[in-house]
Amino acid sequence: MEELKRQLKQQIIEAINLEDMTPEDIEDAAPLFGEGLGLDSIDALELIMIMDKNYGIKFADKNESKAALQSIDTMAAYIKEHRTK
Amino acid sequence: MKIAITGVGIVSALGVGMAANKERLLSGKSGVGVPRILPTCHKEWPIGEVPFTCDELAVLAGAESSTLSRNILLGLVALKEAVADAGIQSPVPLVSGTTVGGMDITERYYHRWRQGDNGQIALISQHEAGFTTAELARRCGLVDAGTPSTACSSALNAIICGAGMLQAGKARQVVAGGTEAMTLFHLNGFASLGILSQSLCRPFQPDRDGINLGEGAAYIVLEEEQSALKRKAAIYGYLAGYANTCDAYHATTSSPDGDGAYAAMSNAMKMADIQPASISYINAHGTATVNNDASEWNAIKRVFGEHMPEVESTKPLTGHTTSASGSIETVFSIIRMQSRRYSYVMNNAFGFGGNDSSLILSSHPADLPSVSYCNIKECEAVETAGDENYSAYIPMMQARRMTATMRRMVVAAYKAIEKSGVPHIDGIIVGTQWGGMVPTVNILEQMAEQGEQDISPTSFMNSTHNAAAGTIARMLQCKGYNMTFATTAGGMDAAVEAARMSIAAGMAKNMLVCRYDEVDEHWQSLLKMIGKDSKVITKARVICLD
Repeated sequence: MEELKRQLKQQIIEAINLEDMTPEDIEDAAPLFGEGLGLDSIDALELIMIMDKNYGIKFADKNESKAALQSIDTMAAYIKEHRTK
Repeated sequence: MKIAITGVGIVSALGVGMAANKERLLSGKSGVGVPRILPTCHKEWPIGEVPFTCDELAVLAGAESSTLSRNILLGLVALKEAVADAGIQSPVPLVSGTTVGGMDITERYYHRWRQGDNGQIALISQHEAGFTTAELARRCGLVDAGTPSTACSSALNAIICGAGMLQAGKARQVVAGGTEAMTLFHLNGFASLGILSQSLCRPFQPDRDGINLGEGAAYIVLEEEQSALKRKAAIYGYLAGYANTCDAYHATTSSPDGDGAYAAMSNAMKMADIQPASISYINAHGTATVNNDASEWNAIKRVFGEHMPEVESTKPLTGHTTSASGSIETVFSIIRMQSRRYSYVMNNAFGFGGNDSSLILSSHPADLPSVSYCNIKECEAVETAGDENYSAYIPMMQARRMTATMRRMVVAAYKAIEKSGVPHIDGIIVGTQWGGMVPTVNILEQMAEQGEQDISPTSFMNSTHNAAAGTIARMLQCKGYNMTFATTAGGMDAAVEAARMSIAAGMAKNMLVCRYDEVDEHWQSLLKMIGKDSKVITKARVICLD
């Protein structure tokens, strides 16, 4: 699980260009959107693409993706349960 | 002064020409359906295609061959109709908006060109958005007077620029509008944003779920009233007011209360000197995305209160014709105004980058302010090089979205404002030859590698020509006049001249004028194959009332 989280953080940093950040800078439980890391709707689309490309996960609807993409913790948990690759 | 509309030309999914479009608009029969001409694998997204191949369009346009971009061919069909309708026989100015330029050609050959196959490489020069206007003007005996490129409000801003030229006494007739062909590039780009609908779009409906894209072109002939009366021209209606504003909120999302839309509609009414109750009809932007329609509806409610006019979005008929929608829907507004005997109608067109514009038409002569040039000060220009330290100006969360050239541009803008000593910028004009070439080529590369899937949404939102002006407006929170011209010429002259005119017209007092050109190395190597070159320019200056 820890390895998955670290890998996920690295993929997020690359996908949304958080150049100056390292995986250690992102807290597992902190919200990714709004007050936390400060990501927005375009970033959400990039995260959905990470889930699809790297883990073979396609969300059924917006509510489902919203719930899964709250934090590194929720993303990792969702991946663990739903990954197809 | 008064501006009459004395000519109209249009092509859309509803058909070729004013008569066909009028009949279909009045009968309400949609032209949206499964893609047949665009070579896409995505048959699940209905689009509003003009039902003719490029070869057929070339015949309709009287053009010699189909090596012209679909964008030019569509434009040519509509432009020739408008020119003939108004009986134009002299080289009057043409202002024509577009964003895709010759993208349909670029995406057809890119995968071969990138491997060194130089077949048809000469066609790459059509890619430039400014080339579209130059070619349209040349083929119709008109003078290229600029290519507004503000994403989905491009054609409406072209009409606003055309009106400004008449008000400034630069011409007695101007042809204005825009053209936009369907491309795989923007179909997949909009798809990457998750805002395409798989059924017929449902603007303003609670269950709306996105856009149907569309294509087409439309032009109107704007004419100083005295000139129109003297030659006994038929008059469709008059221009009563307009406004161009910026939402300055987000690159692709409209603000929840629709501040930019609110300002565009109220400022246009101020210019027209009318109250909300005078407007009978709004041709709304109404793209049928959850966000646009909520934001626009809130803005309309704020402006009109208890005097709500009829609000219509014609996008279920034509699809969202993006950069051409502003002029296509101005023509539809004219048709509604005439057939329902309305006195005043309004047309909204909003674009990514927060470029919000509104236009008011009247059935009777309406007074517009004349523009007289006042004393204008040109402050010192600042040009930045590649080694700028941007971190003092751009927070990391914003910088991460920008290419290196965009960061240079933003730094040049801030430094030019510092040098000018002007406390508050209230208008922004950007001139650019190629627009966001790095994100554009990124998407072309992705499509060449992996086909029509997994396009980067960040690249798509940065690929439009107006991304720089929108970014700077957001950073400065500048909600006034916001304009981007695609311009072939390398200097700042066109943008500076446009700034002078906008200040004279009272649309802004302190304008930031920028020249922005980005170089992509893949693109550069293709340009070299035709002996062309491009170079990075990030230059800014403030122009203000003295």
